[in-house]
Amino acid sequence: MKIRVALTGNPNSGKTTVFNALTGSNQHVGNYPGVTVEKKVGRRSYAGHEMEIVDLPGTYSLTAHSPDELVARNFLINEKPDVVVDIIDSANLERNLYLATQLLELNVPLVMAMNMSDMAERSGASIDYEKLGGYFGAEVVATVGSTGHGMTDLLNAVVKKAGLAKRPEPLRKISYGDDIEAEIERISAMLPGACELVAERGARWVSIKLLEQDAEVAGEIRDVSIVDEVEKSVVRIRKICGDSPAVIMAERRYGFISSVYESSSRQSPEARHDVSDAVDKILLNRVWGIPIFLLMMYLVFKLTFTVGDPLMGLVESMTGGLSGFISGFWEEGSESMLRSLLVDGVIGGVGGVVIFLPNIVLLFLAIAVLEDSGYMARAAFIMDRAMKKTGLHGRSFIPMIIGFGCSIPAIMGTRIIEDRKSRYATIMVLPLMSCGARLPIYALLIPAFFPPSYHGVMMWLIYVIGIVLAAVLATVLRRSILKGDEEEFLMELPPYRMPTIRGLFMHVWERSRLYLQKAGTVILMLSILLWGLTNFPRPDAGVLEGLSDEQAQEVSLRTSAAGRIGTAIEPVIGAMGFDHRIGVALIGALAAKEVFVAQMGIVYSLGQADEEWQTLRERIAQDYTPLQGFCIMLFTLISAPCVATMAITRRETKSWKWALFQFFGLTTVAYVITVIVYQVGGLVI
Amino acid sequence: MSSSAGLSPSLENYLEAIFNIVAEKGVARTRDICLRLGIQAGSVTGALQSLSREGCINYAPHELVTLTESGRATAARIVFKHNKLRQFLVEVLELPRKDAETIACSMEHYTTVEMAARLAAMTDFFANAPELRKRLTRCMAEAVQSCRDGCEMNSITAEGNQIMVNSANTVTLMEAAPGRKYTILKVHGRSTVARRLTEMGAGKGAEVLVERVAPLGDPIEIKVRGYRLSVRRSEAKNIEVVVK
Repeated sequence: MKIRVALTGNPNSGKTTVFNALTGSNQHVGNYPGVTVEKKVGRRSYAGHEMEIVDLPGTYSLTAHSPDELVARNFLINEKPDVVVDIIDSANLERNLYLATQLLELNVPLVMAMNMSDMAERSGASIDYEKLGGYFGAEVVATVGSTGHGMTDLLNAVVKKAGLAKRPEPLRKISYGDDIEAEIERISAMLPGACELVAERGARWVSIKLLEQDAEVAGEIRDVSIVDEVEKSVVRIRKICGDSPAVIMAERRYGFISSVYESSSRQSPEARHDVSDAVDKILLNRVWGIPIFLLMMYLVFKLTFTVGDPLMGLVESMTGGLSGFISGFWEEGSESMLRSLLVDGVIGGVGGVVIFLPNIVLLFLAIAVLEDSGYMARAAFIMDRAMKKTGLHGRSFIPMIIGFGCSIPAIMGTRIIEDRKSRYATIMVLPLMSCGARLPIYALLIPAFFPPSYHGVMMWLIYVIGIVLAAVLATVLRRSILKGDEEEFLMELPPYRMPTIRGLFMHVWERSRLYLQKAGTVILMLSILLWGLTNFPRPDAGVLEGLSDEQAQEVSLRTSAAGRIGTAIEPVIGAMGFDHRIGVALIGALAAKEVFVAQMGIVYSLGQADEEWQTLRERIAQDYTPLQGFCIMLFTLISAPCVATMAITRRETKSWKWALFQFFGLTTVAYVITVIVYQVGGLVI
Repeated sequence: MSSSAGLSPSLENYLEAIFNIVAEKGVARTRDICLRLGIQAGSVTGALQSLSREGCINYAPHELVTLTESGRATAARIVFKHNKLRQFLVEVLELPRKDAETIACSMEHYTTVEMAARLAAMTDFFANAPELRKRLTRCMAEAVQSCRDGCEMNSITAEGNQIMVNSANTVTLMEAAPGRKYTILKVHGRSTVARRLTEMGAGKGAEVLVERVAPLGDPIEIKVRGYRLSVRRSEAKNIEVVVK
């Protein structure tokens, strides 16, 4: 039999660890994962059953406040899985049971996995699982996701639950008190036939959702008279109880939880200060909190660059070896087009990007350690005040850090931000977090124009410019077109945990994959396309006669399609100090930032084999001034985000309008700033 | 109940100003205090010295002013009285905001926390009884009219007897002392926020503990139902709590 299982639960309940323990390596991730924002699907064969297990984003309730919670909620309600497993953090039982009360009302076949049961036991808590299960009409099993303990029990419970024709009646119904119950009854009486949900979930559930003013359910109701009656009921309850029905009902559910908790717990946990409290005393200290935070961020980048460099050299020599190997098939100085395509086009283009993979993997690893240990939430806690000044949110901080690696997972990660307007503002300025793809450009240009002692400073300067500009633009956006109420900042500060190797690996892989994917597809294609544009059409054979190599190369470039485009835009980009060659490379950079370097390589290595980076640097240093070099970096930092970022912005905002606004807005800002810097810089120097 | 440790109204104003500045900026400078109260720097020193003698603040010349534990508590009581009075004046008596502010500023020194709490209950009572509210509004309009005519204030009768007094010690979560346990009485403000807080376990009846304030002064970390939650000051202001 095939069983469709949904895993749901609060954030930080260890859901993903249980998912991994259940499915092993047999899983695939939805197209673009962020901070576990998309649902993941895994398979497991057990006792003759084929299970399809879906890991949903963490959610505190079935009222969707943020986009990732909506994914979870819609799946549970619309996809109707055969079994729903609610992963519950046993050490934090009361709040975790809130979601269970809603699943109880939704009347799904429920299995409750009491996760981290070892931690709960250690704190002295003891729960009568059978009794607890009775209240929720659910199978209850104890699990420890990190060790895999209890997974067999969990699978047995799932199989048992799937085999039951009807769920057992729960011991007790959640009662909302006479006033609200009367309204529920009144509305229920009108509902039969009003919408499909009534037949599927029952009139009581639909009435409850309508009274809670759930927008999704209300949208299903076509009958205006029902909408009117619901409105009256809401007003009546507000009058009698002094609060909106949604709030009163949430309070009542906690009342239910308290009584369930009282009667099924044999022993309550001892109230005591745990390790996390002690750690927070230092890490969130009023005096030391900020220095420690800054130190952490410094270490993240230090690790990325110092450990990354030797690894980068390794990958570089590997691609170098590969291109040498391929060149070996042709004789020295061969003019073969195929050789040029493979070596200059493909390896030059894609290789230039892959070289930076170690840096990006290390950055994502450092971020994963901060996230999985629980420090990232503290960083958001510390930074919230500063972020608020720009109209953003403590939660915007996490995607922004990810943005230093790659904008795509970062934009996906903004789904944890509840408010639409502050989420959009975050997305709009995210490309200013200088991503890993810009590194090749800086790595090429900084050593070309600046003495070694300034390398570090220049790098920091570029990053800081990006951050400052992001803050300024976010402030402007939040005070103009994305103006909104100051919103709440409710965020759980989870207990500190030791990250697991597996968890880290998954996190790093999910994000790095996007970068690699881009290299394999977009950049591969563009490299070939741009190689074609720079090589064709070729000048007539007669023209090159009698010219030196260098002159011949210049003529070839000017004749090519790319060269002609570059020449055409020269008057516009000239104000920034760019010539047609940089123009050619910038067109490539529009598609993907890394392509700039590859394209410069192609521009300079036309007709010459085995160009090394060092030589490219020397050539560039010969042809341009440091001011021009700096302007190139500035422009590539600020201007148009890459094609992949545009695509993801469109997908996340569901409109081309925002994607185009981001593209043209940032490019305009980049142009203005670069022109000013070049013109003023030219006067000063 | 003499709520404010025998301070003069003027000293209470200083204390209140310091409390508000600390709440906004984390620390209070003499300059900020002058600006807020609209006075010259010279006259501040004496007042600060008196407050320091009363054990309300830590103060040494040329240094930042901080509140002591008891100073904080006293200031929180004054702010509480001020806010409840102002709310009552605006929402029940329907006075213009500016007048209400001025009156609350002077009345706060001559009232008790208990009276303020009772007024607050009345404010809530009328907020939930629109019919009675309308009648009260009518009555008051008439009274004001006849007062203008004959300069003689009629007695105003409000039909409200079930006044619920929560407790004399209600404060907002923002004013709550760190490390002390409180019970949540009500979550005010936008209903989506109230709902979210309730869903996350920080609703009416929940026990809450202020753990710490973030290094930059906002947000604050609270402990509720055994877990840690970060809340901005703007929300904490809307959570009414009472000492457990």
